Amino acid sequence: MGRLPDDDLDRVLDEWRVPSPPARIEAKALAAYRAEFREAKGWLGLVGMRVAIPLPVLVVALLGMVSLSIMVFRLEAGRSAPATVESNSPAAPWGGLQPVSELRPVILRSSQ
Amino acid sequence: MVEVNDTSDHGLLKSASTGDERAFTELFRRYQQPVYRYAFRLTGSAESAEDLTQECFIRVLRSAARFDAERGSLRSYLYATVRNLAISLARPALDGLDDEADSLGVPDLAMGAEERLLGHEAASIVQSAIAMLPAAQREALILIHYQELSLQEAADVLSIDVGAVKSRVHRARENLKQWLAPHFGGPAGGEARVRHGKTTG
Repeated sequence: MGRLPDDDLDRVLDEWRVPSPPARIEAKALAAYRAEFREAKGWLGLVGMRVAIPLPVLVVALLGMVSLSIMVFRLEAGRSAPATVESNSPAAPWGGLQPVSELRPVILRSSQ
Repeated sequence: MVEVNDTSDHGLLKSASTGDERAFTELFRRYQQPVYRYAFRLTGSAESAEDLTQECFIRVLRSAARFDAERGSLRSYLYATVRNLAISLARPALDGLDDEADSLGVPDLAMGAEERLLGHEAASIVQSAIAMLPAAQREALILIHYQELSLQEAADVLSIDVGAVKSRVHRARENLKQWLAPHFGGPAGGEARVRHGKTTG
């Protein structure tokens, strides 16, 4: 059986032509695009918004947030410490009554 | 941040993926013809080609953040997407896509080809012959001959190396030379039997 030479094969292959895309294809694609990418705009778009963050940046950011949280917690703990001591003072349970500076006992005698 | 006047493929892709309709239209007009034709040649159906073309652009925009212009052209990315869609949506039509078998070693296929080709117009003969190629060879041939991709671009689309693309195209051409010779003439075939798009015998 014979074989086509290369040049002839190229010519023969070019016999198979395909039609151009129909004119409606752009309108259809645009409608699909709007449904997917335009209707999600506005406030609702924020809900589905995606942000691409490189992993190293994400790790550093998370570590920073954790460190910051620990620092703030410790700072708050340090500020609230005196109040804690004050609340534990002997006077506190007596509703703000202070101990007297000089004791003056008064003897009451009952009449006979 | 992509500027509004960035009309590179990558720029348009990013703008379109953030809701810029003009960027989408520009991108679509730039690539709809080759994408549609590729889809048509893969599926053999105008309706499927239309659906695949539309879906391809939407899919590519959804994953626009993953497109890396350094790793390949947008054209290759679009073709690869069409191919994946065609495989998932029309698997029967692409059955045996990874079949590496050389059809020259399958005489029944060649005999069937000749019988099936008789009496058809030239375009139909060629289309039928190409349809009978193993899918792996057919895809490589379509990308290189019809879509005019470089070997590297075709390799990117098919996720194989350049050597494999060369090999598949070579085997596809060898098969076609043999199958089409009786219909279009050749060194041993004498006068061409097909003239002006019609068979003569």
